[in-house]
Amino acid sequence: MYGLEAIEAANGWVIAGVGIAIVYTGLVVLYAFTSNLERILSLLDAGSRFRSAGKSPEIPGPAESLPPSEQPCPDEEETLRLTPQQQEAAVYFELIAKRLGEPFSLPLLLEQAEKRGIPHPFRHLDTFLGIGLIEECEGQWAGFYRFRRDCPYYNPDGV
Amino acid sequence: MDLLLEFFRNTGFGLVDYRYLVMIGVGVVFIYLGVVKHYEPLLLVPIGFGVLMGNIPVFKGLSLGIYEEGSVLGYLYFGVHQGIYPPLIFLGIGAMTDFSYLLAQPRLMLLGAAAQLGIFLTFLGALALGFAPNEAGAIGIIGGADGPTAIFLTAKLAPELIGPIAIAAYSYMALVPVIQPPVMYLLTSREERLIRMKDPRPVSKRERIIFPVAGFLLCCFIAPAALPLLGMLFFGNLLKECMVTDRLAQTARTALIDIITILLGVTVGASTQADVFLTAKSVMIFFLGAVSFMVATAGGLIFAKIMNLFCSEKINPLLGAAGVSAVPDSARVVQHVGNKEDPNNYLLMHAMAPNVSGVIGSAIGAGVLWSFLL
Repeated sequence: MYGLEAIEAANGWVIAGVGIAIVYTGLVVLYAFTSNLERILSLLDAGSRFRSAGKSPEIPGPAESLPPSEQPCPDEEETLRLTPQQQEAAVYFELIAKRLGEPFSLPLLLEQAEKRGIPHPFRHLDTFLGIGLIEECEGQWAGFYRFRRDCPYYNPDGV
Repeated sequence: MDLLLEFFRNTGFGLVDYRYLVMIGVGVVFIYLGVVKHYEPLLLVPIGFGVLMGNIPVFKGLSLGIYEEGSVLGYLYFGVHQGIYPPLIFLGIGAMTDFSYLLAQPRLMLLGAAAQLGIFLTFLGALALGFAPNEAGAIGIIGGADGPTAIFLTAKLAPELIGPIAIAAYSYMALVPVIQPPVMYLLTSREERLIRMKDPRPVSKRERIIFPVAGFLLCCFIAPAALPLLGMLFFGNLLKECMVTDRLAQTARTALIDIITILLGVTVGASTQADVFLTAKSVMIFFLGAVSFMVATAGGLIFAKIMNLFCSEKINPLLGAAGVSAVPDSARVVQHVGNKEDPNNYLLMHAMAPNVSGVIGSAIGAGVLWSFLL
């Protein structure tokens, strides 16, 4: 058998039609999920920020900080904390630091962070250096850095 | 003297006929294309040498040939005809794939779906040419432009056609830069090719980690027969993205995939013996393979143009051609064609989105055909 007769005998039209429909359905469902994933995660972050509202204020990233003339004087008793995104980034930086071994070089840490798709690695690193989560070693290891897991701002279990 | 004659009769010289010589010539051509022309050398060199190994005339009964019980090649071929090697290759592919381009622009995923039209239209074409339904399904998957998927499905549906289908699939994947551009120029206007895409947004690590888990669950709930391939693809990707299994991801995308590629290539080549390959069926398979690639390219391009009727933010229709899941060659072809029109139009990273979604789509398509035609 050849031609349309062969296709009909083998239910070809049904198989092709249903097959195309299933492939499209799979990818449309995946598209629907993926296009809303960022929104769902933002809602979860907003929820966790809402739940922890009233606690100590967050450490702003450099891009969000006010110019020096408009910055309020820091209260010595006030404690600061990392945003969920910063905590998440801190966990990834810790994993990279473990992999590189301590002490590590900052350019290598940044290179790995960029390679692994950690968003805004330079901004996060600047914050972590500022709060002492990543600090420079002294003595013969000056110029190399280590990850301070005992930093009070670092809470990996909260991620 | 009789002994000498007997010995001569049992050598390759005594057992050879013209078909073996033709196949040896085919093997040499593949090695030439891989080594000298650099056409997919990682595939064509093992396949080409496998063709040489499989077409040495041998005396039957010594467990030398790939189809003889107890032969070494037969044991290595077990991974092909039982569908073991392709999922392991998908594990390595997942461990080296970056889904962030897809996550940043999810609508481009639909172009990957559109390009899988090539699978089902080729399936219909194969039925019309007189192939049995299971053979037509195995031939149709060539349109998915995915070697491991083609070998996996053919091993399940029509194992006797693994040789010609694998060679057709890999040959046309190597020829993507030749097959796709004429279709792309035919179906798009210059204005369309000049459309620039917005830079994709940055994708967070959490999205990259959640996607393989959620993607696997969603796709396999919809098409359970795609489990072996998609399971390994998404598992490999999770190993890469979660960052706590770096060693495993590194092994999957280097040593493991290389080992399996060697074994797969050599045994697929060795299975391509003259009596199976030099037939009218093989010629038709090659013809349908070329058609399937062109139809898949056209399907992606046309769907992109249809999407532009409804989207305020236009998509460059060339990206539809990248839905043909020959990663990353078809994305590179899109970049090249787009660049020729506008040297400052960089489409490669946008093209990777439909490219990788095409891999998912072709695996789902294979699962669907397997479940219908088994």
